[in-house]
Amino acid sequence: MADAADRNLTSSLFTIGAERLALLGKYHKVLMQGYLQGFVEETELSDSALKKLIAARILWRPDETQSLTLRPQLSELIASMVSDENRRQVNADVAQKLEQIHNRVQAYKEAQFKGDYTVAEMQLQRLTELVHDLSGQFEEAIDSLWNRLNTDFGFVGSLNEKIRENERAQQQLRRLLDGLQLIDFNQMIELAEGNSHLRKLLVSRLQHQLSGHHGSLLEVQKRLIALLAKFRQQQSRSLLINNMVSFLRQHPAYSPADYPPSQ
Amino acid sequence: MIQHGPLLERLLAGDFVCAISDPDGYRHLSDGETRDAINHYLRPLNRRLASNDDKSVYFLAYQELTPEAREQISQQFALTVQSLLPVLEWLQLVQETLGHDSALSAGDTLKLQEFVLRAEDNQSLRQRLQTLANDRFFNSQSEALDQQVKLIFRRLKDHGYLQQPHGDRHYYVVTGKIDYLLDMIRFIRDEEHLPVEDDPTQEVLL
Repeated sequence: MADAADRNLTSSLFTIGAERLALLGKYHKVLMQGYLQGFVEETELSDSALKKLIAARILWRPDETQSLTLRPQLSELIASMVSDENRRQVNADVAQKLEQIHNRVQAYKEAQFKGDYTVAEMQLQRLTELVHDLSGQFEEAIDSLWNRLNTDFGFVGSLNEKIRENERAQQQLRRLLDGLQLIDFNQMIELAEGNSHLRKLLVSRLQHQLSGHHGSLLEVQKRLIALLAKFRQQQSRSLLINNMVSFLRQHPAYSPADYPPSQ
Repeated sequence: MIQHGPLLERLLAGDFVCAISDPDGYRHLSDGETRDAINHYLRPLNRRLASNDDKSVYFLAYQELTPEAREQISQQFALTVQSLLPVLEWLQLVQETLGHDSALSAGDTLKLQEFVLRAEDNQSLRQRLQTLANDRFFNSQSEALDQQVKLIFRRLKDHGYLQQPHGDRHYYVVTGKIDYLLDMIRFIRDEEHLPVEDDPTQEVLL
């Protein structure tokens, strides 16, 4: 009996999920437009389409006076799919996430205190997602840094641009390191006090993940600096060659004094 | 010392030994004890091992600057100075022709055919290549582009700037002697106070 109910649930979940995913494809242009300009042109969609998109939790209206926009989760998904660095940096606002975690922990504790275990369970679930997001955010940014590093910044053409991209990456890296510093584990320990679930989530697991990120960031930083030095050396070679050639062309009769070269 | 016989002969003949031109020899020379042994052997010949700052290329220098040594060095120096402009221009040409974003450095591979193909379609590159080939350092008499390029590459190989791993195949590897040449340019610039800037940050300010 229970099995059949489960199957029913799964199949209806499947149907709804598939229908809603299809909506993303059907309205991809309008949605992408909305992602880029920050709001959705309601006139470009029919009433029924609007209703469907809102019901599917793809679009929402933060409040009555504001225009319709993409749900933050969808924006984030798009940002990660197109590696939109600008947006990701905005999202790297760790302080905000930490505050959300704080609030969520309070809500969880309150629910537990009241003995409302279903709500508590749900809050814990949300909290787990938040913590996961916090760590995932660093992971994604670090992946993108490694990727740029490993391709030698091959996506830009000239050495000058590579140098600029490298410097940009180093800035981003410093911001990420600053972000990691914001996470104070003493506070986390306090927050998790007396609760083994919270302790595992906020302290042991998060600490493990973040120290991994920290190590990874330092490694990327080391490589970025070495690569920048290499770029600069290449630049200096080219400059030396070009400037010496122009000097010799301008002074065709030039000949250095007759001394033994440096040995 | 017998095991290093061929290496010593190369060095005494004036060769530059780097990881590309002679990987085994270079490996031996990277070892401090071997260098000491070679220096010990070279002392009666008034020679010693020298290298550039990066230690990417080794060559022989004189132990003491006797009048004969000075005469010998002057000749070599004059030869290198004479080759300076043509080799540098060639470096520029290669960089532009192949569309590289940096100058050639030791270990880079060059395919003669690719170079010819790219230069063929570009009138201004052809023109510059022709002028370069006619320079007395390369001294080409030919009108044909591929002959000119072949000659240029051969001369650079003779001078130790290029290595040809297979005699019958026209691909070349840049040797560490290029590093030596650039070091020498920096030396001349510093000694003679030439206005030849190589600091990228300074260049921006200018």
